Amino acid sequence: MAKIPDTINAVQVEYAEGVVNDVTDSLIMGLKHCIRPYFPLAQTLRKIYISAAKDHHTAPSQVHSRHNQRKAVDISRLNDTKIAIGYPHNAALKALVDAIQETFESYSGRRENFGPRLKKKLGQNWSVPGHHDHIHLSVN
Amino acid sequence: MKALLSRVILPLLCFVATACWSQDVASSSLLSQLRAYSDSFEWDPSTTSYVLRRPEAIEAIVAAHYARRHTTLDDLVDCISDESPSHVLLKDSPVVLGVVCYEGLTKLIYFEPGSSRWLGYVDANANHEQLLAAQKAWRRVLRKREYTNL
Repeated sequence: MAKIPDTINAVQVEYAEGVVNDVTDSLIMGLKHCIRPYFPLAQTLRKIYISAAKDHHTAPSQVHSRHNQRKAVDISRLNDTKIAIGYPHNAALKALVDAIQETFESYSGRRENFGPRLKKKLGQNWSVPGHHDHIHLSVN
Repeated sequence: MKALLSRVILPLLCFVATACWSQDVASSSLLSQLRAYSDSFEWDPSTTSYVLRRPEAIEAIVAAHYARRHTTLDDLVDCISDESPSHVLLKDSPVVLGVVCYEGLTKLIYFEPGSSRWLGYVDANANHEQLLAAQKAWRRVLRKREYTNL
């Protein structure tokens, strides 16, 4: 088990209060794969905000959540803007959300990739409600 | 006894009354602001859902209250069943206030259900039963503190 670093590929990582930063190495590798400045886009990714890691998923229906296995993170803000507010109207934020989700799909260890841009599990389209307000990434 | 009454009991009663009054005023202020909030839903093909045109405006309202009072979440969930008309339009017709309160709530917190059967999601055109079911689902999430701040 390991901690997500404070910076990933020059992108600052901020944590919500109460986040238990204790995840698998594979998840960190997945984040290093998809979190980067994305220079060609209109806005550079400077900061991500992790709203949940191994925490916040204690409901009976959530016992099988990858969060509880240290294999998932939720990202709810990019560059200090809530995805719930910026997606889809803020074109720069939308481009970054889309880029993160699409890039994560090329990570070999990916499992769940749920967010406003797409909802996939093991590379296949997956029907899951919600996730218009944050990106949920998990690994095998 | 008089001293006890004037120095302890009366100030305590005043404090409790003032606190309760403040809560009520803050709650009604939030709902008044949401009642007056003007916006419209538009179809977003990228998420295949109706989204507010000015989400930052409603977020500014609820976030200001949430920063001062944790009970803002309870006020918003209590309001989900309010079917009075709002100033937010869907296809030129006003949506109910409960939908506006749900939109405000989900600019502050989210819940990741482990089951697709969770009933807490509210569409812009939600009916009476859907609003009540969503309110019940969110009340449970709040009571158990199972939500995550955005």
